[in-house]
Amino acid sequence: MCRHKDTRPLPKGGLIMWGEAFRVAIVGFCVVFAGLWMLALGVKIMSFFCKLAGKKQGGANNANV
Amino acid sequence: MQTFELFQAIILKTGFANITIGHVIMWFVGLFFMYLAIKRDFEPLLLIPIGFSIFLVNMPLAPLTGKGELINIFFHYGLEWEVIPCLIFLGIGALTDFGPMIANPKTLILGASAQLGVYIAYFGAILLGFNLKEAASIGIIGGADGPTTIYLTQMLAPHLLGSTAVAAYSYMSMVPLIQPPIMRLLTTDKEKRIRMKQLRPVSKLERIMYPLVATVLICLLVPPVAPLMGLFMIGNLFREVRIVGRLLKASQDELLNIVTIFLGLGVGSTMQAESFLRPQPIFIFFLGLVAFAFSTVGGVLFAKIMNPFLKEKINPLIGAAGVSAVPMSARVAQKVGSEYDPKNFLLMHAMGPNVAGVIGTAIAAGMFLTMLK
Repeated sequence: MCRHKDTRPLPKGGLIMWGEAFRVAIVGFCVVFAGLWMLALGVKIMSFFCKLAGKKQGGANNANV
Repeated sequence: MQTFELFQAIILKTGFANITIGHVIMWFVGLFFMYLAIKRDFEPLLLIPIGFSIFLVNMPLAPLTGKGELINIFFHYGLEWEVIPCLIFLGIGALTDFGPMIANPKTLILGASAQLGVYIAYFGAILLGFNLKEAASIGIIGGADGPTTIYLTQMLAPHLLGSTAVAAYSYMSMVPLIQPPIMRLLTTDKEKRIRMKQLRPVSKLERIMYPLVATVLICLLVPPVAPLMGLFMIGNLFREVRIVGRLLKASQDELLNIVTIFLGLGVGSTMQAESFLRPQPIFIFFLGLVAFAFSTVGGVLFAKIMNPFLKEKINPLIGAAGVSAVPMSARVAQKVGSEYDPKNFLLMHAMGPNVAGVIGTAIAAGMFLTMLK
């Protein structure tokens, strides 16, 4: 069976680069948002436990008094 | 005759005989930086060493930037080895008050939206023919964070280090010129007058816990920026524990001042006429401006988008502080706000997005490193 050599032009480097560029930008921007959102959530949880610890500390101090 | 030849040889070995028009142009560039610093008070701590270094390294035949020569040593061990950006972050951490951000964590999201300019400039750079690594290094200028720009560029496109570093620091110093027109354009008078509720006091325990929580989250999410974020947070821990006064003082003062001198001299030394007077650095300067402008736009517009969903409205001017030029852009938000309502105190509110911007830029840089390195 004779197989002709494929003479179609290869995908242009530019197209590949743009695809990669969009991927990097979209994933990057999403991770920036997700990362800072995670940090905001982390800070909220941290503040909650710190307040709780503060209250317990206050309660213990009052009990000592 | 011999005396004449000797005299001629001596003349040829002086700078006078080797001076070019490029050197003279760069002297004026250096003088312009020093003018901005001395006369206009734009980031004098940075622009004076950068400006003078530009002036100095463009003295023909001066043994300063060759291998093993004085300024090359600062550049090689400080910038190429990425020691200085991390030490600068240690000092910044020791100076930073995360209290406003801990009190109002919503402002962290403004720091993310203000990274818009990073990605706009990144695409702009690709359109102008830069490859992805170079485009990422140029885009990060929009984060308005000099140390992160140097850190990323050194890893992805070291040949652009001089141009990106100088563009980042130049535009950081020009925040008071670049941001206010954009902020005024994008907000109504009513929005500019929004008064924000006073921030709650933040306990010492929260302040001490924050650097630990942030280190865990950021270093796990984007390990490539652990050196930057690690030193940023340890500097902040020195500040908040209040029992290591000597380390805190050294980080805030002596160490930060010393590395700032080396940084300025090292960055300025990359602006030699032979390498700088080409179209590429001019494109980078232009894209840096685009990045800065769009970062401001992103921060302000996102604050406006958030407002309908919030009980306590945010003054959109503080969104502009999401670019991480600390504390300059927070001061700009305060200044523009007080033009419309002199009794509106936005500074502390703006510090939240401002420090969030530093973290946001570091995450953006970390993602570029993760995906492109």
